[in-house]
Amino acid sequence: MTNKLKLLIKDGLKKKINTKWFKIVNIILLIVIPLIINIDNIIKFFGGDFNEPVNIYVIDNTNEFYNNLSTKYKDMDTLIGSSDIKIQKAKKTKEELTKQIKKEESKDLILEINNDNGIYTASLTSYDYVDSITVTLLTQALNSTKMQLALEESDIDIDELNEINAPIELTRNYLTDELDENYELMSYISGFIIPMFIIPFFLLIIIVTQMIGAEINEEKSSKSMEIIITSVSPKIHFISKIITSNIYAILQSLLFVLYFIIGIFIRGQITGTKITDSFGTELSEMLNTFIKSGMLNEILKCIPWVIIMIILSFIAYSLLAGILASMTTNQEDFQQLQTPLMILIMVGYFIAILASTYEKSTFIIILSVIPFLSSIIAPVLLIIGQIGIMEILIAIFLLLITIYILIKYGSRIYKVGILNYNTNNLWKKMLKSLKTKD
Amino acid sequence: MLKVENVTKYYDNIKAVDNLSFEVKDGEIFGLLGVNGAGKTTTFRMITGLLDKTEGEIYFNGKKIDYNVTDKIGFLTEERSLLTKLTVEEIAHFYGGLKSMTEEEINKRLDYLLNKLEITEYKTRKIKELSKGNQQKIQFIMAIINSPKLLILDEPFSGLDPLNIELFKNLILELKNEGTSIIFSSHRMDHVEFFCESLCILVKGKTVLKGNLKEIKEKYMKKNIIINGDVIKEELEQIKGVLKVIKSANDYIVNIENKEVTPKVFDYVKTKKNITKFVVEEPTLNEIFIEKVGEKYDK
Repeated sequence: MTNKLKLLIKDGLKKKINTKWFKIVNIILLIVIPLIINIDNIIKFFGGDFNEPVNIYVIDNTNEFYNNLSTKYKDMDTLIGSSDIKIQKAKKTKEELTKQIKKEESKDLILEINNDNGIYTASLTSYDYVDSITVTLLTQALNSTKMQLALEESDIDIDELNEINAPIELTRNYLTDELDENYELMSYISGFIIPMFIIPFFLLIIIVTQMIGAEINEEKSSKSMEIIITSVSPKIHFISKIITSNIYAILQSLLFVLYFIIGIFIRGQITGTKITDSFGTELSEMLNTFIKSGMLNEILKCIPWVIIMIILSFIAYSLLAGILASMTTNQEDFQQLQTPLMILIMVGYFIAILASTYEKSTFIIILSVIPFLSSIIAPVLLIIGQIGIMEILIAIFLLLITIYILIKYGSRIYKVGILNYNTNNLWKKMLKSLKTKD
Repeated sequence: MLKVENVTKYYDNIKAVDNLSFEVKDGEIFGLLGVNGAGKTTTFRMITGLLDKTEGEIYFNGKKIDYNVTDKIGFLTEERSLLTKLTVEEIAHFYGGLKSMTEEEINKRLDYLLNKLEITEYKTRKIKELSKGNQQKIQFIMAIINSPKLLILDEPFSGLDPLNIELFKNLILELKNEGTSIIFSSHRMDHVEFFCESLCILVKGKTVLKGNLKEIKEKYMKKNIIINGDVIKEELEQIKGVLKVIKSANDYIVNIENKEVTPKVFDYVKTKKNITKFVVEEPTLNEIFIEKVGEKYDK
C-alpha cells in the first residue's frame, strides 16, 4: 500500500507540474518578481521628468539665510530619501532666472528671501506646480534658520547656542523590568512584516484548497475515482491528495523564494544597489536599527514554531478542502462549498492585521489559539511579541486535535462522498457516514 | 472463483440488493442482468470493495475481498472512467501501477492489447483526443491491463461498431480461456446469450431468475412447432397434446401442451411429403427477460 501511496503522490505531482499552466505561470513569475524588485531602476532606466535634477536658486537679499538654510534643507531632504533637488545660491538676477525658467519650461524654483525692516519674508517662484514635500521642507528650513538667526543675534555664547540647537534626547523609563524600548520598533516594523508573512501564506492556502478541490472533482466527474478506489483504499487516496498538494505548495514557495533571490542578485550585479535602497532612508535606517537591536534574533527564535504552525495549518486546511470536495459533484459546487473556508482564512487575515492596532487584546489572543484562525493569527502575534510560547503550544495542540478528528472522521465522509453523485440529502448522508467503521 | 453469499445492501431504508447469491467459476462468464436501478452497479461496487455490504459476504478464491485481492480484479464501468488529460501510455502506467505492475509488465501488456485492438498509433495520444469508440477500447484495455483473475464488464460494447465488437469478443473469450472469471452485464441480450453460461436477473434488488442459461431456456421453452409442408391442419389437431394449430401465410404453427408432445408431432410429420421446415421454437433471452422483469413489475 505504501508503494501505491508513493505512486499516487508521484503521479499527482507529475500531473500538476507537467501542465502548461504551471509552466506558464512560473515563467511569468520568474519575469515579474525580479522586475518588481528592480522596478525603481527600470523606471529610471527608461527616463522621464523625474530624472531631471531640480535646482532651487536662492536669492538671499538678507545675506544671512543661505548657508544655514541650505544645510538644513539638505539634511531634511536626505532624511526622506530624495536626492534629485539641488539648493544653490543664485548667480543671476530674479528677472534673468525667471526668463530662463519660462523659456525652458523648467522645474527649477526661485526662492527669494527679504528682510523688510526686521521682518523676514520669502517667495517661491515656479513655472509649474511644486510638490508639497519640497514646499514643506523649504518652509521648515526657513523657519528653523530664522529661529537660529534670532538666537545668534541674542547675546548667547556659541556653546550655549549649540546646546539650545542640539536635539533633545528622550530617555525612556519603564516601570516593568523586562521591557525593552526596542520592542516599540515592532509596532512600526509589524506593519511591514505582517503583510510580508500573511500574503504569501494566504495565497498558498487558497492555491492548495483550490487544487485539492479541482483534482478530486476531476476524478469524481470522470468516474476514474471508481477505478482508483478499487485499487487503493479511500483513506490512502485521501492522504495522497493531502501530501501531494502540500508538497506542491512547498515547491511553489521555494520557487517564489528562488525568483526573489534571482531578483536581488540581478539588482546587486547590474545596479550595485540593495533592495532596502528602494524603501527610502528612514525605513532602511529603521531596519538597520532593528537588526542591530537584537530583535531579529528574537524573531529567528520564533521561526521553528512558525514553521510548525504553517505545516499543521496547511494540513488542516487541505484535509477540510478534501472532505468538502468529496461531497460535491462538480467544480461549481466545490467553489460554493469552499466559501466558508475562504471566510475563515479572510477572518484570520484581518484579525492578524488588526493585532498591531489592538495590542494584547484578550479577544485576539483567544482567537489566536482557535484552529484554522490560529493558522495566520498565532504566527503573527508570536513574531510581534504579543503572545508567548505557551499560547503557541496551545494553538499547536488544538490544531493537532483538529487534524486527528479530520483524519478519523473526515476519511469516513470522504469514502462516502467520493462515490456520491447526488446532492439530495447530502448532509444526512455525510452525518450518517460518520457512524460507519473505518 | 467468485462467491457472492446472501449479500444485502441498504441505502437508508431502501433495499438496493436483497439477499443476492451466485458463483462464478474460473473461466466462466456469468451474466448479471436487470433494468436500470436493479442493483447491478451496487453489486459491482460491493464486489470491488467500493461499497460496504449491509449483510452477507463475498469471497474470491476463498478469501474475503479486500485491498490485498483487488490487484487481481479488473472493472470496466458502464460510463467512461478515464482521466482524459493523460495520454494512453500515461494512464496505462497509472492504472497498471495501482495494480502493482512493474513498468516493464505494463509496457509489454499495453503493446499487446493495443495491437489486439488495432490502435497502436494512439499510444502517445491524449484520451480526450480520441473518438468515443477508441476511448471505450482504452477503457477496456485499462480494465484488463493487469490480466485480471476476476473481470467485471458493465456494458462493454457501448459506443462500438460491429467490427470492434468482434475484436472485444475475441479478447473476452481469450481471457475466459485463460481462466478469468467474468461477470458480464449488458442490455443487449444477444451478447449475453453469446457469452454467458449462467446468469442472474435482478429486479429492484431481488433475484427473479438465476441459473444455467440452457436450463432456463428449456424451462421457458415456447410450446410452438413451426412446420412447412403438406400437412393437414385437422390431422395435427387430432394428435394428443396439441392445443391449437394456426395456419399462417406459409407455415403451420402448432401450439403444444408440453415438450413431450414434440416427438408425436414429429412422427406425424415424417409420414408427410414436401416437408421443408420443422422448427421447435426456442425462447430468446430477450423474451425471457421481458417476461420475468415484466412479471415482477406487474405484481
